[in-house]
Amino acid sequence: MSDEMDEIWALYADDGAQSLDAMESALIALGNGGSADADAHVSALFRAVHTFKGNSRVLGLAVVESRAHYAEDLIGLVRDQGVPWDAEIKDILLLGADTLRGMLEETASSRADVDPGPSEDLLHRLKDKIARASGTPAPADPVEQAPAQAADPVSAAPDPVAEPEPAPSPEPEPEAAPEPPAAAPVAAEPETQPEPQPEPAPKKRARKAADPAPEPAPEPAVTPEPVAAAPEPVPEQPAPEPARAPKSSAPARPEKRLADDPAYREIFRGMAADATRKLTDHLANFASDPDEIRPRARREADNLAHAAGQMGLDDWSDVLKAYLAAPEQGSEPLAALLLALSELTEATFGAPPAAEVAPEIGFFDQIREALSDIAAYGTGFFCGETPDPAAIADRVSTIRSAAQGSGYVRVDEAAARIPAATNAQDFHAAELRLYEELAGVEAVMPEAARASGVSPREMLQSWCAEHVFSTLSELEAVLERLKDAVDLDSDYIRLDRLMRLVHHACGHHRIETAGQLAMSLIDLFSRLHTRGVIPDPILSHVARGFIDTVELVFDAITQGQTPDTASLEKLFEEASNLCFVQDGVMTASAVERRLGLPKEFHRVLSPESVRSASEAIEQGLRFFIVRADINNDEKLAEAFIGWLSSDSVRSITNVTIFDGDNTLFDFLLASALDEAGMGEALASIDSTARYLKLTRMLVPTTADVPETAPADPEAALAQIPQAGISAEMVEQIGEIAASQSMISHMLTELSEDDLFDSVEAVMRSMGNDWRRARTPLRALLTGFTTRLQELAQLETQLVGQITRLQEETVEIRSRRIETIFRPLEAFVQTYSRRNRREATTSFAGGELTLDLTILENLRRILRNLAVARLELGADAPRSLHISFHRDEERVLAIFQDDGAAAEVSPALEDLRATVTRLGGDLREVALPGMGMRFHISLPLAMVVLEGMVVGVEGVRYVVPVDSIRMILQPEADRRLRVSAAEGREMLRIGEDEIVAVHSLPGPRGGAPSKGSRRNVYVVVGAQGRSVAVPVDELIGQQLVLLRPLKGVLSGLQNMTGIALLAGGDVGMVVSANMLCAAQAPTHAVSTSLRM
Amino acid sequence: MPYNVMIVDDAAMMRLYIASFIKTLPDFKVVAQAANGQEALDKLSTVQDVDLILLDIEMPVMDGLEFLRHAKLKTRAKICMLSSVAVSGSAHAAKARELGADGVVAKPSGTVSHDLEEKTGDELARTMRSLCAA
Repeated sequence: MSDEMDEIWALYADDGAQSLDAMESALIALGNGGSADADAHVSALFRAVHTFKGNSRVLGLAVVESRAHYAEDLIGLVRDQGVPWDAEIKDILLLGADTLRGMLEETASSRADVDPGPSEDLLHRLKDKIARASGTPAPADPVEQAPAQAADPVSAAPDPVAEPEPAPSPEPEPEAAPEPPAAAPVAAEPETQPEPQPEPAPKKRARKAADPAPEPAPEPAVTPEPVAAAPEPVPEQPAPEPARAPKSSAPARPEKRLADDPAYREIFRGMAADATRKLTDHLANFASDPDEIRPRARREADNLAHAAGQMGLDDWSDVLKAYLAAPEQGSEPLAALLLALSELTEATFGAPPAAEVAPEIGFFDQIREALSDIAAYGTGFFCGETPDPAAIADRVSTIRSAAQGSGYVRVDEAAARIPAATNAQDFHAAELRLYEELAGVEAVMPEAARASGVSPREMLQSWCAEHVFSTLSELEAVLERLKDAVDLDSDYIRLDRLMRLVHHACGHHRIETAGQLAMSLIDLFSRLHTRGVIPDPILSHVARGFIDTVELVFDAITQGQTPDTASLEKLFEEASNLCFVQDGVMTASAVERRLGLPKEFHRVLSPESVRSASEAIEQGLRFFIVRADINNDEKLAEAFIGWLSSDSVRSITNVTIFDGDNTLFDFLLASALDEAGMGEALASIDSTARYLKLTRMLVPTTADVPETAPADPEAALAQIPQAGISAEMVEQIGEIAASQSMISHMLTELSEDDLFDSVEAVMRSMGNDWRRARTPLRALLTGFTTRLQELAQLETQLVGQITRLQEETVEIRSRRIETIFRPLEAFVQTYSRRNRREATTSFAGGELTLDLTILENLRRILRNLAVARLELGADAPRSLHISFHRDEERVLAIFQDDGAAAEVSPALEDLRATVTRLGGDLREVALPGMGMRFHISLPLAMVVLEGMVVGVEGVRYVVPVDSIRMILQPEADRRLRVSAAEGREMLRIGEDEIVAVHSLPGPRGGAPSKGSRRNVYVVVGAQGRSVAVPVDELIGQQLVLLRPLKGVLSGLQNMTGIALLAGGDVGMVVSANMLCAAQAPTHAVSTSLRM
Repeated sequence: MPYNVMIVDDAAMMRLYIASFIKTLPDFKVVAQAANGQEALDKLSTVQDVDLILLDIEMPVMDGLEFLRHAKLKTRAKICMLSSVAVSGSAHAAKARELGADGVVAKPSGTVSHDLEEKTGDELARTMRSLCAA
């Protein structure tokens, strides 16, 4: 819980600072008024303060919230009520920004609300300004309230349409006029102005500005729409309209209507167009849900009727009121209303000129406010509020209407999903989908979006960046689940989604390589999804590397550091090469280098092309580039393609070359033909030599240029997936295949050659005279023997090739443990920092090597253990030490820390289950005082082992080289039988040291046959004990891949596993540990019995 | 009812190969072809009910990625990139995914892949079916 609160307070501090930054930026941009993008800045200002207020409320900071609340109200008057922006508002809000920032710092530090005293002045000024601007009395300040009410209670009623600021002086810049004293009869001021002074820059929200004014003679059939944004005026008292007439004649029609003012006409025109669009939409959807649509349509009509009344447009008012008074039935009245509105629009404003139709209101202008509201609803959801579904539907309707008007079908679909969301999570998901689709529109019309001050892309990216750590955590979990293949389809879909969110988060910080890599991984996983298979270990490894690296990068950014993105470049390169590694062929870049391909062919070779090129290189073919202008000549194209399908040439790949709008192709071909032959072949297809031109001949280099190995371990770990099959290995495989083919051919010949028939034929030809036949028979048999010897020689050569290949393949899976040190260390640092701790890590045993799979398992286990320990809050460790040990059977990781004693927890139990599933063991020991030690032991399945292959009565054994102390061919007097050891055979291996002799079983098991005369002993040692193992032959040293004993073999004593040896034999791998465990400790002896 | 397919590829031979391959798939039918992105955009507004677009990347006038950027806004058709440069995990494939490509398949042997059906036929058919079924 403590950690959660830490996180929430940190979030509050971070978000709050951002909101205040945004507030100040907007205030600066707004200046003293007159800004071209004033509406956008006011909206940004409102959002910033609204967010700040919401965050304060969540944390129960009543004083902070109240100040932000009044600031928001004041901005709301400007945004929604038509109150003009002026220097005073700017000054008050700047003071507000300063005060709120101070409060933010204080509350983030103290985690308690602030003393209200120091901000009383701000509160007073805010209330005062709100009261004057809206015409309502300042609620908490009787000093001001009393005179205002006493002077003229009616004047306290709101009238946002008219200029609310007192303007006692005739100065041309009323906003610059000094503030009247607080006690001045503010409300009386308008009476001194006989004529209205239209706003120089009327606000778009004039509709809402008109709302508070009640109808002079309310229609009984009409239920007035409640207005939330401003207080209702006293119903009995008609609203004053100081802009139109002196208050004494309040209900009278002003001599000059607002409708006569061009600015107000334009505003009303926009409102009418907006309302018409919504009503049209309602009509279209009426049949689907009349009960839902009807009240919305009535609300629209009611709002427009209010505005029409304020404007003095009686004809509009009459039509709208007639609709509102009509009984609620069917869609016909709505259709009739729309028809009437269309006529009224034309009558009032004239038919729009053709040129005006297209630009109308831009797409982003149409959706701007609705989008802002949707974002606010999302924030509200997050803060525990439940937005009004009708309001959401209304905003969504605006967006859908705009999308439909522009033909943006996917935006429309994405918006349609929003009202269905019933909780914060679903709402955010739908909201993000909408932003994604809108970002697609923004990508096509960036200027329009910019001009409207709307950037769905930035909204999307910002949200994703804010939540990137939780996204990465879930991504890792999905990656794990994919391995189990329980629900591949939904896991792949989820992975795609999460990876996209990470991509957007990267976009927020302009980490382009990471964003590109996320998309690259999406591509790789999507293709596997289509095939319905689980990701292979290499891809999973790259994905995990990506998650870890991006986590570090974002952590660095969060800490204000410059992230190291170099490893991202490498990961991206690996991801690009994965398809080649998976196919076991040379990488595309290797082929590019060996052929010296021009840049047009760079990064375009498919695995198929690379395989084809590799084969052609092996076969010693020549390479050519032919430019083909065949796109406009089908016959020529067919002839050329037909030739490419023949045996004389092989088409490796081809690329497009643009020549203006004409498309040409460069073909990379391989052929046994020389340059002249190739020229002739092309001429036979295109005798004019105009459409098929040989532009270049390429000579492959003999060997690939090796790539430089990275020096640092992290880069080495990141490079694991690149350890694919090298060009040399491909060559070796080719040689092996050729040798095998030759052996097969020779064996076939030998098997078809009947030696008996041949001998008989020779004998017959020599008249069955042995003496005469002797020489030809010798020649015949010598020839046969020679062929057998050649076969044996070839087989030996083949065994050598296979051995080399096996050693290399085993080697490429082998990694030093230290390759995981740096990532683990960085992870622990990052994770502990996120938990407000500083944990350090140290390691030992990094020089040991492990198979890639074991190393990866170990890394994951240690990482999860670190998480379990670092999650202990205040008891979490500050220091971790991990040491590694291995013998030929197991690897042991000892994880020791100074944290609290481990209790049974789901995380620890999960970890134990994982270790057990891998055939390992997890033990924990509480250290005296403080600290824990965990022993994690994993079997070395698939371990790379350097072994001495020995033979015992034809059975092959592998003795781990690390365990061999010496190999002896002792004199007979060194072999002893020790009576104290029940007459067991012993061997003296030094002046004062004898060791037990332990024979390995022969082919039938049990002791070796009596006839066996072994005089070679391999002495192995482990755990301070030694054993001498007699063998018949030493076959040689090999790197082998140890496989675990399974099934009936699992009962074999003193064996670790089996290994496939070069030459196809299977070897039993001897366990020095087990052999030595049964023996007494090696010690010096002086008594011996000669055998 | 077969799915309607539009082929967008600047190589005339490749359009032939793709169309010929689609003829072997009873559940798909080619209803339109275009030699570049602009032509494809124009056709999209006249050809109704396109379910799937097979789209090359490197084309004159308007390339596949630019087409993708525009077309994704105004069509519900699934878009599958079919390009020699869209090798798994490559930068081109990543860009296509970023712009909203629903599927990506690499041509096996270059811009003009006469062996499309032989080498990539199964993968392409699988991808097309998976996209249309989604």
